[in-house]
Amino acid sequence: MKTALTWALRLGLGGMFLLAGALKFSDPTSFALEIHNYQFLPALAPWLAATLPLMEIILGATLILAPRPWARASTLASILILLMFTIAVFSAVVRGVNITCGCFGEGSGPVTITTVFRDVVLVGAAVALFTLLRQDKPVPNERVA
Amino acid sequence: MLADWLPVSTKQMSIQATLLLQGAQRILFRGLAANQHEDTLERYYYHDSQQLCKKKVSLSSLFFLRPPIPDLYPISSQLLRSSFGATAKRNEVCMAKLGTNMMSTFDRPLLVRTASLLAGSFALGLVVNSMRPSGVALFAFEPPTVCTTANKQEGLITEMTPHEAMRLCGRPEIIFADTREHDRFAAGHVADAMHLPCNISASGAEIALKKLGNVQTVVLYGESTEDAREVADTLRRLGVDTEIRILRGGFAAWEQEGLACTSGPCKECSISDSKETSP
Repeated sequence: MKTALTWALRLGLGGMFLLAGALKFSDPTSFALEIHNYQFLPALAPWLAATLPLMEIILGATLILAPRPWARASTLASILILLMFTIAVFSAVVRGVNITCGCFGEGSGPVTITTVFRDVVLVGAAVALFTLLRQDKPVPNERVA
Repeated sequence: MLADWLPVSTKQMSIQATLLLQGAQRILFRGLAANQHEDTLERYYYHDSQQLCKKKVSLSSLFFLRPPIPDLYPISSQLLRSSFGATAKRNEVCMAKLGTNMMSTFDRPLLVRTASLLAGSFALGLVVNSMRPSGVALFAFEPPTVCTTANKQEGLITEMTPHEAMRLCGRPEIIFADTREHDRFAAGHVADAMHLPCNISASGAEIALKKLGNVQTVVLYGESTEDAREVADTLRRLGVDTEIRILRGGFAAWEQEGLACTSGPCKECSISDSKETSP
C-alpha cells in the first residue's frame, strides 16, 4: 500500500513537472512575459523563464527515474519550487492582478483562488511523498520489552 | 503524567543497579564481566530510546537520551563512551522515526543533493537558453505593459456615446486612443487616434504616457466598452491623471453611427511600431 502510494505520487508529481516544463520550454519569451505579469520580482522574470522549464523537466525526470536518495532530494526541491509558485499566485490573487497563470505554458487560464488551492494540494502531495521516501532503517531486535 | 517524563524509570534504575554491580565485578575480576557490562549498557540505551519512541517525545525530552551519568560509573567511563557511540545510532533510528531529529530528516547528503539539483538545473537552463535562437534575452528583456484592474487609482472614468465623442473631435486638448490590436487598428480607426493597445511595449507606453500627459482628455475605445476600460484602469494605475473617457460600444458603435474614421498607417503609428522591437 505504502509502495503503491509512493509510486503514484512519484509518477503524478513527476509527470506534472515534465509536462509543465515541456510546455514552458518551447516558448521562453512568452513565459517571461507571463512571469513579468505577476509583478512579483519582475527583474527576475527572464532568468526564471530561462531556467525554470529545464529545472521542472529535470526534477520531473528525477522524481520518476532516480534512485530513492535522489528522488527524495528532488522532492525537497519540488516542495521549494511549489511553495514559490503558491506564494506568487496567492500574491496575485490578493492584489487582484488579472493575469493568466502561465503554469502550463500558454492557455493555462486565469489566476484564481482555485489556482492557489491547487498549488497548496500539490505542496501537500510533495510533502507526503517526501515523508514516504524517508529511509526507514530496520530497528535492531528488541532486548528489553 | 509527570512520572512518564522522568528520565530515570524504575526499569532504568534496576539496569543502573545492575551496571553498578557489574562495575564492581569488573574491579574484582578484570575483563570477566566486560561483555556482560556492555550488553547491559546497550539494553539501557535501547530501553531509554524505546520508551521515548513509544511516548512520542517532544524535542526537549531528547535531553533524556543521554549516556548514564558518568559519576555513577567512574571506573568504566571509557567503556560508557564507547558503548554510547554504538547505541547512539540506534537512538538516531528511533528519533528519525518520530521525526523529532531534524538532522536525520534533513541530513547533509539530502541537502547537498537538493542543492546540486537546483544549482545544476539552473546553470544548465542558462547554458541552453544562451544556445537557443529563441532564448529569452536575460539583460535586454523588455516586457510589454500589462492591463490590469489592480490598484485602481482615484479618478473618474466616464463613458460617452459616439455622438458625444464626435463633438470632441478636432480639439487640440482632446486625443482619441485606440486600444485594439495592430491589424484591427490598421484596418480602420477614428481619425487621428493614437494606437494604445493592451500589449504595447514598455517604450511605446512611455511615449504614449508622455503624450497623454500633455492633453486634457483622452477618449479610449476598443472592440467593446470593457476592452477600453481595462486600458483606462491601467492608465490610472500608472499615474495618468488626465481625464479619461470611454467610447460606449467601442469602435463598432462608432462605425455603426457612420462617424469619421480612417484606415492605414497614422501619425502615431510609430508608437505601436515600437511593439515589434520588444521580444
